[in-house]
Amino acid sequence: MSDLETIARQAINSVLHNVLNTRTVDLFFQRSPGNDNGADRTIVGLQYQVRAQGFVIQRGVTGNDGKINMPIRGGVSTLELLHNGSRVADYEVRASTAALAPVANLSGQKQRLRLLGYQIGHGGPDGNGVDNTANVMEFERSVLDFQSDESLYDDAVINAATQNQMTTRAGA
Amino acid sequence: MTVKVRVRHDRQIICPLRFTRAVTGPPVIDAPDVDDRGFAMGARPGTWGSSPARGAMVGITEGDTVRVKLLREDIDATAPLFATSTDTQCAEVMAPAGGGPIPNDGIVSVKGVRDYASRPVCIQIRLGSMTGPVLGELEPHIFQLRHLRVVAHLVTIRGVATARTAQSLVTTFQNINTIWRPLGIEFVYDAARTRTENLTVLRDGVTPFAVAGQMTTTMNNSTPGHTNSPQDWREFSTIINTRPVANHINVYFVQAANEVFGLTFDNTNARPNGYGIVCADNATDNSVAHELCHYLDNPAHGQDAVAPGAAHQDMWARRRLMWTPSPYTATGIAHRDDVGYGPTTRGALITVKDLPAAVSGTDGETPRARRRSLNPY
Amino acid sequence: MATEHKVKQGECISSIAAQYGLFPETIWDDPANADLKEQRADPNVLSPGDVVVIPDKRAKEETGGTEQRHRFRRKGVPAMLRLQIKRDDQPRANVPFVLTVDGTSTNGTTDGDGMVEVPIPPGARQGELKITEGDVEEIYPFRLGTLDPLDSEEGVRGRLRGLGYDDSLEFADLVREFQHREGLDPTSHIDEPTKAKLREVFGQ
Repeated sequence: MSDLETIARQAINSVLHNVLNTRTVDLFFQRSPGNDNGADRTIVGLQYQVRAQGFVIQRGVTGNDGKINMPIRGGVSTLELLHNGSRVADYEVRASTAALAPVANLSGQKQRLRLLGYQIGHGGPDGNGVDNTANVMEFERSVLDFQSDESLYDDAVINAATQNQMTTRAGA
Repeated sequence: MTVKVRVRHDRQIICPLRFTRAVTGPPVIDAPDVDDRGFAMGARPGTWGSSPARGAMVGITEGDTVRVKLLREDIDATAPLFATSTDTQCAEVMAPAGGGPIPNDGIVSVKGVRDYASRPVCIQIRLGSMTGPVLGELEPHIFQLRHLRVVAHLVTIRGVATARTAQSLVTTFQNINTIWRPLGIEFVYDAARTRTENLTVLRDGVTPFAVAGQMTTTMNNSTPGHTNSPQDWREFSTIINTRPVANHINVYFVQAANEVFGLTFDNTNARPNGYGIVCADNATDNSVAHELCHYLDNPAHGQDAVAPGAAHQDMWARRRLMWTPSPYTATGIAHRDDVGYGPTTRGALITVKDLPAAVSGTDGETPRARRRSLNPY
Repeated sequence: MATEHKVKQGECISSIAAQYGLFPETIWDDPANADLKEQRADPNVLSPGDVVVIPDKRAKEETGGTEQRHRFRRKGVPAMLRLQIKRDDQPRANVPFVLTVDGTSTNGTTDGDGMVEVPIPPGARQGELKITEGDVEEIYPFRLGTLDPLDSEEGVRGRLRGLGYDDSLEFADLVREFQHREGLDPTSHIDEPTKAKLREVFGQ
């Protein structure tokens, strides 16, 4: 069961130490999806706090990059968006270190669109739309959105050009 | 309810909101379809204001209040959201009162206050209050209403007449005007001016119409490039050159057409080949609206491929008024078989955005129609 | 003879007292330091270059009979908190922090290795380290206690938790993840190379 980390007390002359290392991931809040480093699209001034194991472990406000460097402790942290100090929205955040699935696979395509912020729905084992189910409305809508945003032919067919562009934008 | 996030590759972008049409089913005059195709805004014509919004566009007739629907794609259902306008002299949030909190059904009412050339406005959705951080936007375009006169011709071909009547067309044009309202265009149909036409032979005075009651054409495949015979447009040309009324859009109603629901030449086709619209009895109100869109300088069909021969089968194409087949064939894919207007029913979206040709071929149907509406007769 | 101690960056009365084996009050309340006490007010906030007078240790006399056992209990000798703060394996080097232990706050700056070294009361139970940079406040709460030995599951879990691993994993998976990240043979159990590496990266 996860709990606060225990730091061992040391004797005065000890040379031993403890380490408290926090893994983080970057969350970007944006008004539109996509990662083209252009167009003003970030959500600025979003007040937040991060809770893990019941304790608040970070507080802040998003800057011009809309970024929250999100600490994850004990495998899951909760991001709370605040308004005037009160919690108004929650995100339960976990991270995965596994490589992305191949872009030729449906789940690989969903992973990349989800990473880029396209709104692929909330089915699947992680509740974020990433699964192997074909013909999901939100997924087709997101493929069309992506093709349109990337000046690709908007027919929802994930051909080589679309796949390559997904890989380029996702960075993997 | 908490939104679940599983971050891969150490980063994740979260885009909480999007907009959509406020209702499903047949068109409703105060619930326009929203051009939510992607988040890029395309090329706005010179007279349109360009806001910093990235997201959907919607057209509104000046003075109208319309409903749009906000979808919470990646944010808690309970997060308080407020709608504000960046320029209340152009567009104003009428409901919810005080901008929010926006109710569970996500409906926001926006009034098109005034059509100011080149003045940008967007509706911003903010977290927590009227001054909270902006989570998403909608860019409305306000249009001063233009009235275009229409005269209907009820055509009898070799003794077989259209089933339509002057009175039935009143409802038809009301439905057409519902579809065209977001463009600030209204077709003024005066039932009392309706004409009846009696045709038996072509313009040559000799050749009879091939089939009684029917406009018979031979078109060379699909693309309206009108290249070469064996295309035979003579029956169409005869009909549209029958007693056209000057300073009106002339729409001819026949009982049947062998290849189409409707056919149109716009007014760049000088007479004697001529210009006008022919619709068969089996053309739905949606189809007549489609023909009027051709008439107002939108020659292409939404499914036309950038790569010829490869037609779209996706849900956007089918939601566009200018997508050719209507009704269309079911695919077994639910969101393609009903795009929000009913089973296998083509949608009524006249595109507001002008996306690049590489994306969707000829686009920007609204600005093209608005431009042509200045000189339509 | 009393010693003069010139304050270095990051030192406070508590740490200086620990260095000389005295209680903090013994130094702070010594008349020789009255001027400094008036000037600085907070014994935890001294400036580099301040001079603190360290009084001599005095012998304390206790009377008691011979041939009898006498028990002496030492008054609480401070313990030390030595903690390296890292984020994504990068030390939080040279950043100002506020450390709060059982309600008492100390300011300091982490060193070039991200190390925090502060004396704490020996019975201290819980603490929190706060690092504020711009608009972001990082908070690192922790318990104070003892770590189990390296050859116990709890000892390994405790260290890996501190290192940022997901402690909710099955033990074998957790060990294998550490071994994988550190380039060790992924045996999934606590063998000698794994223990040595864990001792090295965690610090004990």
